[in-house]
Amino acid sequence: MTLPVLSPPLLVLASLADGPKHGYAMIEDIKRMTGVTLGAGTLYGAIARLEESGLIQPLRPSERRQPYRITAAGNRELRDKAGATASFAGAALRKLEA
Amino acid sequence: MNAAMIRRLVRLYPRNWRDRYEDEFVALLEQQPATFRAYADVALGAVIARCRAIGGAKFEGLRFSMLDLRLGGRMLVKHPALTVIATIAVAFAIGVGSVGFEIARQALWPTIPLPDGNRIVALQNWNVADNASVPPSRRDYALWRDGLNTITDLSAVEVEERSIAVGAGIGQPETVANVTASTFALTRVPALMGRTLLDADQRGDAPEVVVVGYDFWKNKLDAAADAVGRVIRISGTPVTIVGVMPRGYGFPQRNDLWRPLHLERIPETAPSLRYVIGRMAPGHSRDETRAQAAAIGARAATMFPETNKNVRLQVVSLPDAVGFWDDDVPWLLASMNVFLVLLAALLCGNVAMLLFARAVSRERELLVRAALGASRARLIMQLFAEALLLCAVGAAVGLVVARFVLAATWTMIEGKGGPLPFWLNTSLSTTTILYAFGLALLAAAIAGFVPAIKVTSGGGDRRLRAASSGGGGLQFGGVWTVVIVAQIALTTMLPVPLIGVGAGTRKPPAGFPAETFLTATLAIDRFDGAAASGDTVAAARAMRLETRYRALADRLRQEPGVLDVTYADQMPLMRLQWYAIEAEGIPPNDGNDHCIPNYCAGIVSVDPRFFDVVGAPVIRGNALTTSDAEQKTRAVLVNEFFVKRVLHGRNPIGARMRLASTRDRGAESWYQIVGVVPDLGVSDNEGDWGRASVYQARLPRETGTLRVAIHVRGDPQRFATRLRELAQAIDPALRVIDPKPLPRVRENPSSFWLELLVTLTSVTLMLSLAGVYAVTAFAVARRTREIGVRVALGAQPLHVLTIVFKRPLVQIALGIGVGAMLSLALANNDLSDVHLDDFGRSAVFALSTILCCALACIVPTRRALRIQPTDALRNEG
Repeated sequence: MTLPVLSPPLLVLASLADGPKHGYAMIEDIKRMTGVTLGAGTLYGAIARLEESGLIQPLRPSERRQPYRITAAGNRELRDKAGATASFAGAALRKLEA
Repeated sequence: MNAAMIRRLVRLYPRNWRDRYEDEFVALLEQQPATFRAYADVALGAVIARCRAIGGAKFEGLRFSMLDLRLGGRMLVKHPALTVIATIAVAFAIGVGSVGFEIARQALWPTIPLPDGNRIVALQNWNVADNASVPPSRRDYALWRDGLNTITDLSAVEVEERSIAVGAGIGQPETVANVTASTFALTRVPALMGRTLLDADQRGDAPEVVVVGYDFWKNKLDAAADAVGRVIRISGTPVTIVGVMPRGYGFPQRNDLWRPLHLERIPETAPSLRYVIGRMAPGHSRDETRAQAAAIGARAATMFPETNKNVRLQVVSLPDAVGFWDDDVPWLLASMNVFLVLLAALLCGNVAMLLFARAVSRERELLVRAALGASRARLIMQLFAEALLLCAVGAAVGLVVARFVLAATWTMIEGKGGPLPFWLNTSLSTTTILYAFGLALLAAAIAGFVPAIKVTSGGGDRRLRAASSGGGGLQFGGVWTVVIVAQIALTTMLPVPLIGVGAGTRKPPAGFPAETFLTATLAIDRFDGAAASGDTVAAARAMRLETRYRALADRLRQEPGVLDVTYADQMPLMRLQWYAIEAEGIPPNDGNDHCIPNYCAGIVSVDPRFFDVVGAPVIRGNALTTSDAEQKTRAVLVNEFFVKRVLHGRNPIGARMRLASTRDRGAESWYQIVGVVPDLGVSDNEGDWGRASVYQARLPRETGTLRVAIHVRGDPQRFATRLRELAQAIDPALRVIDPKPLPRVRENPSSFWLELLVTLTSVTLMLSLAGVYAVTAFAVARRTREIGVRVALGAQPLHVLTIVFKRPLVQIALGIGVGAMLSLALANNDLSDVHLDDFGRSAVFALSTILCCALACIVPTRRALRIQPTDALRNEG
């Protein structure tokens, strides 16, 4: 399996894994998780692609903020990609310890 | 971020994206800090969103489904005639293109089909003063073997012709490779049966053994299971077969017999080895190998200045060492591919015209589909899918045919240049198959996209109206005019290559009853065993050959079917070796030593009785005598053409001539003409310099190549076996090479090219004519309504015909004009060799094109004229 890189769509999925968030909250959450600051253009590029693929879903907007939530397909996708990354990380660490 | 800046940036995004995300996106941007990075990120996001919008919407239709292919398949079945013609055209274009590509690939980038074959290299002595390679000597081989550690399994190879007899059969000439035992370790190929050669086989007292190849085993030994241990005779010496090599093994060239090389029997310093080949040692690069070889070569030049002074040691590839191709041939083959791709493109243009005609006939269907919501991209992809399917079928057929054409082409090249190296094969490589599919895609693009874009262009509403009113919205406009003109130009040009080939295949008159003569080359094998080292002097072997020839000639004259025997180094009807000459009293050619008309002649060494035996005795002056041959006098005979062109009709008897290259020798260089003989086998298509001939008398040992001519009763070919039997009875080492009736010495090796070109031309012409006919007929048929209107308005049939013919005739005239100009440019090099019938062939092709187009115009026009105007208008409306 090809190792997934930490692409913006994956970061967005990871951010939504623990509950719905709007754009600004996602940027902050991702920054907390990984230290990566996504630009607004990048974030909305990822949101558009994920929504088109049915991996996230918009919820009822509150004022001008639009929250999103992860779908069941998004959860599966995140589990697959994160699992592959974890497996790679484990293998690399074992090599370092050996 | 700045609100005005945000507005500007957001406007960069596509409208549908803005409709969905603008509010929330702007709200987020307002919370973002105004940094360069933030702005750049938004701008980049806009670019990506636009690309996705283009890919996801406009080009969404540019994906075709199985449904498109199924529909395409249905259309192909529905129009079988068009499908067959188009498939043949595509198969032809791709088949020919693939063969050309495969030949060029194998010639330019050969791969050696041996384990790790790319590490096999040859060592070559290169004389920088003469700019030529020098065969290695035994001393060179020993020096290289001991000094090089970057090359392993260094092997020496000597190649010679031998008379080989199997069982009670008579000896046949075969090529034998004498190799060191290390050769088989080098190639890493085990024997199919028995064993390969061993070091022990190379010892002086070892029994005579041979390893045979797969083809020899199959063809000469009938694939006998007990072949190992059998005895064959090589130059009369019994030799035991110890092994059979597997199929395809022909190292180093295309050899079929390998004997141990007895190094001690060859002279130490004479350049007598054909190849020295080895394998780059593991861990060493080609550069390291080259550097070490250069150092050893430099050392040899210092140690042996008398032989190696200007010699450099080079490391080259095996194909370069064998040098099967002339230097410029691979690049000629590569450039030939450009022509083949152009040919393919033109044939595909033809297919495109046919598909366009069909697409136009489906115009209403396409318009209705468009009206029901199909995008232009969907319609284009539908038509492209049809073309792709057609081209895929064509490519598959073309590849199957290409395999056979490739085999036939190799056979032809083999007939011309000798046995093919073992690394050339008849299978198509993966690269070539990919190339063929690339060609198929190109063909599909030309034949699919071009008509599809054309047929779907213009406003749908306008075309729907035009089509509904029966006028036919689409016409064969500018693009198709270019295609048709190019097609006709090529049709006119294609016969031009046949001119040269046709000229080459015309047989000149022999000038004597050549069909009653059998000719063959005689040669004698080297002594075997310990005596071999005493037989290295060429003169000694030539003397032995003369003795055997005289014995054979005496024996032949006693045969009831033989009238007489003679010899020469070149036979009439052969292409002679030409030399620049000058005749006394004729103004010299400004010191130019090149062959030009009136200063060039073929020099032939003959038996003094030659002209009496062939029945063409001297017509003026005296004949040559035996003492002329024995004393190597300077008396010569010349042919009538020589008198006419070189001497300008002057009295030749007593006149003198010499080779331009011997001018500096003064009086000794002159030959004296003592008589004149008729023109024998003089071709009228070799240019003026090829027809003048000079004959000198020489003994058999001094002719260089000894060719015999045997005058027989009946079919000369039947006597070939008897000739071999008699030769073998006199000496098993006497080889009779290539016995055949004398007229066949002129057999043109390019006859395959001729057949290939004729086939290529005929198929292209047939397809071109079919395409031109279909398109012209279609274009005229679409004007039925217009013709009806004109007739209804009182137009005369002749006037209607003129209007209808105008456009096709202009296209034909343009095509023929362009083709004729290009043909003349191509043929302009040497029109002196071109006969009227060659141009006649071109004229016939051009006339066929005109007739075909005229027919294409007349048939539908006549049909249109027969229809009553009211009917025409009603039907089309």
